[in-house]
Amino acid sequence: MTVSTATAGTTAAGVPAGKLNRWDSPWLNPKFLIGFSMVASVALLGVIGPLFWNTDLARVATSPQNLPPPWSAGANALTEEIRQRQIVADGAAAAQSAAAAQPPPASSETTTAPTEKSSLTGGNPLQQSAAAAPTQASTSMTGGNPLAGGTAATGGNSATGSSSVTGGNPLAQSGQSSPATSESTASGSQTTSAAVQQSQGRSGPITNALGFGAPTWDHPFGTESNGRDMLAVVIVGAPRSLRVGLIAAGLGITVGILLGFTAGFMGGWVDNVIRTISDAVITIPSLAVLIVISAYVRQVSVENMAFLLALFAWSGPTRLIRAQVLTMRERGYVQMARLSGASTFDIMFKEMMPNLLPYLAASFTGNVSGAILAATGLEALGLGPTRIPTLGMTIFYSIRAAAILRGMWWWWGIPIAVLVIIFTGLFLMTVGLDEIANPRLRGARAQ
Amino acid sequence: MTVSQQLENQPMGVVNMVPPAKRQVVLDVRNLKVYYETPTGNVRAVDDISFQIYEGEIVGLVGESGCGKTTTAMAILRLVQPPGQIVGGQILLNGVDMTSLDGRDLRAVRWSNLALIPQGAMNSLNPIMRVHDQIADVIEAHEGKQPRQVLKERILTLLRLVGLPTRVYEMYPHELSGGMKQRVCIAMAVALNPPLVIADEPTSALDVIVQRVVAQNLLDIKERLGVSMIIIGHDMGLMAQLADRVAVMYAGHMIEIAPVQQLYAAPMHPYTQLLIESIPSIKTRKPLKITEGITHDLRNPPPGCIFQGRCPHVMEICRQVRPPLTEHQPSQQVACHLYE
Amino acid sequence: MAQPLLEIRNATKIYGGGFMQRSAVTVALQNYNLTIADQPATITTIAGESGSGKSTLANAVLGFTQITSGEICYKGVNITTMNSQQQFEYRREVQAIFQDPYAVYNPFYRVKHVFDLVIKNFKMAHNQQAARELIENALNVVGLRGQEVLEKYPHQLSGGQRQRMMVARAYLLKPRLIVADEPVSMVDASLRAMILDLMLKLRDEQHISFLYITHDLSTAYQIGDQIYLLYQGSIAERGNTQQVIEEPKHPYVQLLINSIPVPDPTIRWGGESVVSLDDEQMRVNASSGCRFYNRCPHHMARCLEQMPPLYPVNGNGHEAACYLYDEQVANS
Repeated sequence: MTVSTATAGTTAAGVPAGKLNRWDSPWLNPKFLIGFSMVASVALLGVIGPLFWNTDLARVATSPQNLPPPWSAGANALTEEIRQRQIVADGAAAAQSAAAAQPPPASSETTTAPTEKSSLTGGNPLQQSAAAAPTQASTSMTGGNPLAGGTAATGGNSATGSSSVTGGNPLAQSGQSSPATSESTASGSQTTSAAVQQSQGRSGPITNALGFGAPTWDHPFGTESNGRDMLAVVIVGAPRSLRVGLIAAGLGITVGILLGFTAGFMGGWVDNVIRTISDAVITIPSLAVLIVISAYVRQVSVENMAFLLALFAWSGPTRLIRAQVLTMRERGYVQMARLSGASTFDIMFKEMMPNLLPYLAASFTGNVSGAILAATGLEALGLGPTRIPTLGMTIFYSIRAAAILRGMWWWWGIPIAVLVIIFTGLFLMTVGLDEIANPRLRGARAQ
Repeated sequence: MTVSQQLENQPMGVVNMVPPAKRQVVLDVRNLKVYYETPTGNVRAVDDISFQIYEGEIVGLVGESGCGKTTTAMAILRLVQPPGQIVGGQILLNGVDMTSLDGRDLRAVRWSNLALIPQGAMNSLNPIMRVHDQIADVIEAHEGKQPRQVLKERILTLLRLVGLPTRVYEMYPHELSGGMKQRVCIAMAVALNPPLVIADEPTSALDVIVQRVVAQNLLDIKERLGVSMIIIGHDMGLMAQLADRVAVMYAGHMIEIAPVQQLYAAPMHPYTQLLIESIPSIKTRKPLKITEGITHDLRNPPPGCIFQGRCPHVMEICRQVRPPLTEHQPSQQVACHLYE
Repeated sequence: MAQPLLEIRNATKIYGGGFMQRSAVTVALQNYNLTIADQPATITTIAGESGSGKSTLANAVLGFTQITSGEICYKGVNITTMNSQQQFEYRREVQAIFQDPYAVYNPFYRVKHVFDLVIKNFKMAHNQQAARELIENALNVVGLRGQEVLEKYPHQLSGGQRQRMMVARAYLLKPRLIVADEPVSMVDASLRAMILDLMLKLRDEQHISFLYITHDLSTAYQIGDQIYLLYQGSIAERGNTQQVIEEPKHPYVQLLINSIPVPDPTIRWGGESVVSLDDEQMRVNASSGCRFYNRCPHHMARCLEQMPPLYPVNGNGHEAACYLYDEQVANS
């Protein structure tokens, strides 16, 4: 705080007027605005996303597997490495095709590809052994690799499809080499990678030792082991998570308003009953109950999940609203309304409710946050909808595919980042609304 | 610049001031200005006021709401919250300029040299601490840890001073009535024997009989400790009983300062006259005098005398030149052109 | 005598107790009696300090709380047994002005809302035009102009303007009785006179009676016709305002009046010097008998046994509840 003496240039008009300006409305609370923009951008993603990105890519087996995002740290090195291997493979392929007339060696000593390992998670779908063993197939529990195709686009020997628990995949082709194949190789209609596969004794694009393919801007967020494009997953899944939260919180607040107003206004035994019930529901461990219920209800859609969550989402708002109504009941303007002959309904919804809006809004956003958290928790345990790649289910799949161990950070990291944005945004909105509702919480600017 | 503009820009000092020779000045406020910034201009809550407080006297600061008396008290304590700030002037407490102090020095001065009994002081007692803990807290915050027995003696003496029974020592604030809580606050204020105490409407929330007790208590303390007090209020009846001198403010300006008897017997400024006349009495029934409140916009005060909008004796010069606070009778200062 | 407008008989209100005596029992009102005549319009003042029961009385008369025993009769009908038609009439004829000029406005709406509520619920006007006229009239009575104030939000008006609008709102219904619960204590001194003057005007020109509740005896002195002084739930003294205040008889009232600061520096508080008050103790003792016993300089043994009834002093309806005046009757 500066103090200027009377002679040091301060006139009667003194201090520059209006350091505050008209933008000082309480609704333009910075926390609220920042939070709102965060949440809104995620919601918009769901609306605008499909317009410029193909959401079909969120389906299984639509994209190459295991591509890291092109902007990630090791992308350039990885691209380089793959290019090198490509060159090596090209060289080998040229040698191979020169010797194509001869029966290809049964052994795969020319290949540098690692031999097949049996793997619980299906191994690397791109690692297939020498083409000479048509029946060699990785048994894969997740259905193998959509591109584990052989050289022949002409549908070759499907008899050698990999046996798979989930029914394999439509594009699983064996690594059968055939004269026809080499011819097509020679004719150039084949992709070079196919020839490389042949020479390397495996089918599919070139990968590095960890099985990561070459990053490309066709898939800006990378892809995962099921062949889903991560950007499409986020575009499809993030708004779904928001929707779950909104529906659950919306239901919760509606019930909360009805019960809270009734309890607060009527008092007496009605109040006691409602209060006891809502207090009891608050203490029930909701996640445990939801897990049991979800396990029973096999087919869980987004809406069903929201309804389930709403079962527990109403108790908090009920208590909050009841408390506010109890305070407001004694306010001067409520008494004035009674004196003016207003009916109970009028008093509740025309006098009290408008003043409750900021509190209601704050409670609502808090509830949305809680509902999304619960929903994501359930999904991460595998209890969510299986046909739609929501964020929680994506995390679930990534855990199942040991993505952490394999270093596929973009599989679980990007959904988590989106969730962090949603939660932080909702939190800021709640805090901002709290400040709007209760002016005393607005901190004084530094003196 | 025209003459009137020059006069406008001149700091409003106290002209022809002859201080009572013997007494020492405890507080000297010079040209204090406190403005509040709003989106539509600066509200001049306190616009260039000057006054002195002498040792061992009670000065009543009166005026209607919005006149700036609480802001003055807050400014003296450096407690003005944004968007308000002190934009000019000096506040000399026993020679030390409060406006230039900061941080640690300010904390050292506060309470040990200058104490406050805020409005609704009873609400500023910590509900989870016993009375003796709270008073001990005040003492120890400024004088460091004290031996327990000495501290206890001191607190009991304080309680006796304000006329509270000993059992209050152990009680919690919610067990006390309003008047008792207020007296605890007074005890806390004088605990460190400050030379100056500012009491902001100390009795406004109290019943009449309790008010009398608390007020008599304040007088008692003044006699025994020699504390100077500024009592802010708008109850003219109470001021008559409590104050030695009275300072009248209107819309951020100091318009009259006079010894209490002279003020009530022969008020000089037209506003003071208005105030005295409209005091309701319970001795005689007379028709009520209707007045309006502050009529002008505090952001845009008229040039010249601040009271021109309501003054029955307004003259041409009043609209152009702001009258300085000058002494016309012995120790009675008035800011009015009628007496120039 | 014609039927009184408002009659309160032996009203008692006890707070607390409750199921299994959970909270402390407080007797807010005890055997309270009050009569307001139908004609002419009068201003009846209920004066007392905080905790004396005056707010409880206001709430009871307005129907916000129920008294534990006794009855409150409006035009002869007990308000708790009124049917809905009678209740409607009661609401229409008994209005109120409250203490806090800000809290009575819903901050969400413009101030016009308080008028709209009244007009709508009491079906006072058929269309917007008629409604607007009614509101203008009411505002003019209190010295405000519609176009200046109606479209504003409560925080944009001054305290005085808000309180005047409250009076206008109460006046809108042309009630018979207005309960004014400390209407001027939160208003500036300069506007106090205006509002009190308004009350006088409404009484004289519109024949509206007032039940004026206050703790400030000086304003009571200025405008009250009848005064009832409450002390801890019972009437200590009642009668003609001027008479009671100029010649108080009950020891409490005497102490009260002597404690009012006189705006004359040469006269410093008179009467007996007040001993350090132990305010808390007062409320606890004396569940029977006179509540003022602890502080009364004239207390007798008899005062502890039973609450003294009202004895006439000075004639003219002036009565005080003190055994001091019983001897007079006995001796005369």
